[in-house]
Amino acid sequence: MKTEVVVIGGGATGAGVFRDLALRGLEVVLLEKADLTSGTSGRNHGLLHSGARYAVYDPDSARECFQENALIKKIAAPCLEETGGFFLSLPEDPPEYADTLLRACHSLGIPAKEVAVADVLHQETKLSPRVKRAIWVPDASVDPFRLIRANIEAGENLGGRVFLHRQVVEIFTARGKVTGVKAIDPRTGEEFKIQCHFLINAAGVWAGEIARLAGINLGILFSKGSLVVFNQRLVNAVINRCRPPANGDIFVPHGPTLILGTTSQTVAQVDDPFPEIEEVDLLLGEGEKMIPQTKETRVIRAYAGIRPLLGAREAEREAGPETPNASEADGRRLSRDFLLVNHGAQDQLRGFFSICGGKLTTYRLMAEKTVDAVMDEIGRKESCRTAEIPLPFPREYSFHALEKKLLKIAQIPSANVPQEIVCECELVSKKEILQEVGKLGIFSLKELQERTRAGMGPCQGGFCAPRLTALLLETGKITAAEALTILKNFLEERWKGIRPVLWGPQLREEQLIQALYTEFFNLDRF
Amino acid sequence: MFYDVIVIGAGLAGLMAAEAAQRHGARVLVLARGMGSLPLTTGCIDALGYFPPASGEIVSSPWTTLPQLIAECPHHPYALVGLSKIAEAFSYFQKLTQKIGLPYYGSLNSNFLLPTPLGTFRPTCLVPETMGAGDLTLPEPVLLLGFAGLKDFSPYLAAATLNQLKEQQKIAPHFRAEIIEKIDGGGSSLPIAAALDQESFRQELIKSIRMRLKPAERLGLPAVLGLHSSAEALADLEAQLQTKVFEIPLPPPSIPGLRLQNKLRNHLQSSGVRLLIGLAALLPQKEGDHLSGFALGNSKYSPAYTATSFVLATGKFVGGGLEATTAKIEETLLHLPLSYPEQRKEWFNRNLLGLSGQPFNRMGIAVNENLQPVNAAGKVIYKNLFAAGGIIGHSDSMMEKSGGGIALATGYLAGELAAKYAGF
Repeated sequence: MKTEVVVIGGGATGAGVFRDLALRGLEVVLLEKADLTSGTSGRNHGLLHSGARYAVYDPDSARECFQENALIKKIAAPCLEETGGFFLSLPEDPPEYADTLLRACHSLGIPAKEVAVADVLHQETKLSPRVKRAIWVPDASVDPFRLIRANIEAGENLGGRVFLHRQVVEIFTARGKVTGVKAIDPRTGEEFKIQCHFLINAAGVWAGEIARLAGINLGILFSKGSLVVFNQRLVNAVINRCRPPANGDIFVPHGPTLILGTTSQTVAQVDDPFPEIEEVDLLLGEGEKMIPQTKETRVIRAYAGIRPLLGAREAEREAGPETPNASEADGRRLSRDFLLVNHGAQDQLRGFFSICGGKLTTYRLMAEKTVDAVMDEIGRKESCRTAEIPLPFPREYSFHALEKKLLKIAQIPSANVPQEIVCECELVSKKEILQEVGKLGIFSLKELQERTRAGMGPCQGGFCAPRLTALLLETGKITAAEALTILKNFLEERWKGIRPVLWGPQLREEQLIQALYTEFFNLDRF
Repeated sequence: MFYDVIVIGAGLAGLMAAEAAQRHGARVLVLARGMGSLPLTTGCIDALGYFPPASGEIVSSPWTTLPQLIAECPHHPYALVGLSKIAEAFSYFQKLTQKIGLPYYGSLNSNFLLPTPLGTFRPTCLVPETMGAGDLTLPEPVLLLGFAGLKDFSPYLAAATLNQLKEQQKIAPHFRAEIIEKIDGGGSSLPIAAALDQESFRQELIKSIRMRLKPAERLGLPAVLGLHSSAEALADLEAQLQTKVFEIPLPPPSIPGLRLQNKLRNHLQSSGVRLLIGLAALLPQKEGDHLSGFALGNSKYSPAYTATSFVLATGKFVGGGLEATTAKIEETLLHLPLSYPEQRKEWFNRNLLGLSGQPFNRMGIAVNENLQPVNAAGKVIYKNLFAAGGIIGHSDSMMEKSGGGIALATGYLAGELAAKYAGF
């Protein structure tokens, strides 16, 4: 196979680059070693940053976040909820930080404004009455799964091609220039060769591995962040703690759920990170200070992502091997800015670019800068249009759709129920599932879940996973030999996120789900 | 109001305890906070499907394997009840269900091998008459028939998986799948089951099945053969279709579990047992090492019930007998002592469906051979309290496939002992 550009990585950055390249008329192939959003892009808190969070310590990131926030609200409205956000000072927080934050935001143009605590408490009744000061910022929440798939779809509509389960294992070069890659399907070992003039490494956590294939060291530090998901919103705005970034300082309302994050812990590279019970307890302990009801609220799962951070070697030298201040060693102090490396200039390998670091909020800008660099190299002039053209979304899709769906179902006369609901928690109909099944490149329940939100609710797919499996089989997408494996893989992955949050009603429901799979289905023996 | 025996819990263990006590003449009251857990079960009585619990081999005869279990696991509820009492409980249950019009087939001597909605199969011991013909060792080919809109049963998935497994496992028949359209089920088995109680609906259904059924084929249906009249529905279908018919239990609410619950409750009530189900609060009243009764609330107007002896059959987490916080696990009704790992991460294994099972499913209180809750030193906590079913620890019924059998055996014995304590 031949193409002009190969993009490696099906996360936010890769998807953004893919769309941008296609919009500028280049022939592009995207290779992803697993599924779309299977790395950090699918494991964050789904926040569209206002930039305020980085205003004090990382002004460059903050400025970029603020600018991109406004652009993404224009091109991706259906997958956003403009929740707004607050920074809240508690009595134990550094009193001067609120003023520092306000000043920093104003100097960057971020429209942060102090609001009366009484008004905030009136609006968000679950917040702690101990709040001393409150600052409003234009944070929003975003569905990363849908945002990234919209970028992919936009690129595909323009002729770009996406191949999932293609892990790049070799980079071909000739006379100091990239000529192609070899990829394998990790499931089968089957090999694929693709010739290209340009190779863009947007592999996120795995970017260092890709660069090493060309003998290049990127020096990325890995920081694990864990988050928990509650079964209800509790607040309708993003809630930040007004202090230097630390554990458990942000709540993001996300669809019908609420996400509390994050921890930050330097780790060796992990392909499949999951939170530990201790991290969950730490988050709940901190979260409780802003929303006292935190510990009594049902947690439906926990998950973790790995942040690839830049400047690792420098940071290690500065911080030294032992440091009393946790926030110095845990990677929080490292820049959340991104880095574009043109390996032609730096490593004498022309046609090879690495784009790493950054935020979900800045994915579009990262893509723009990357594709600008490619265009420079080719000597073409088409300018970036990703900030002007709206992204494509399915007609029925909207991010916070539960209320609308309920209304719609309530209007259907019960005598003829045409809409079979497959996932009761998120009210996902069979029709919606079948529409997405048709678009699947690979057939996993997780992929269906991320596309439709089926199985995202309180039972986390415990009850609808067999139904989804049956739909995949009935539509001929999977064989009988694959069905049980696909179901079991989903259940085991699901369990990793549920195991740390089992107590109270969640444990009760989980024991029932266990009984379903062991006593009704005997799946433990198959 | 005074009773001889108060049973707390309305699952299989509680209902069996109530029956065992009333048949000796005791006046019995059943109190339950929930609605009873039978509709959360398959409606079959699993006695012992695998032993040791992590074994991959199906137990072919529970009766010949039970002595090994009793020898190896002296604290297992089956070991406390003992072989002869287990046999007595099973045979009493079969007589009882025969009498109340919901006969259960099978015996402790062998396990059935029944298909599941996923197309896997499970070993089970006693089954309602609507399920026995599904046994996978029988050779006749099977037509699995689903209903459009009944989302928890895909005959295509079940048939495809079973045919696929046939290559490696000892499954005799071949499976074929079809769907019947235009049944207004609203996606759940309850309305279809209710419709099948009506003869006119059954006739219509039989007509459309007849067109699909091939000669010599058995007929497998999701478990919707009537809410109340499963015997009539089964007889009707088998007579008119001239073949064996069986049902496959679906995820909760399970119709076969619901049927057993209804029939047992009706029988108990007509035998003079009083049932108070779905209570908001149950507050124990104690006097030293005796329980004296339960109040249904903490106002002075709340009714209170006293008894001579008590059976605790509140189940595990699902039943509400146990409850966990982030840091501890409690027996919810009487705060009986529990032993469990201090660290929450040791309550759960890393694999969901690994053969080593889940520690939290094994949790429960400790009891002596009289099924009386005891403390860590082995001392009886309340002299007039007996326990039954899932609240008793020391077994992994989910891995053994023994939950129904344990409920039956301990419920039967606890009810007898409670009646005996009360002078019967």
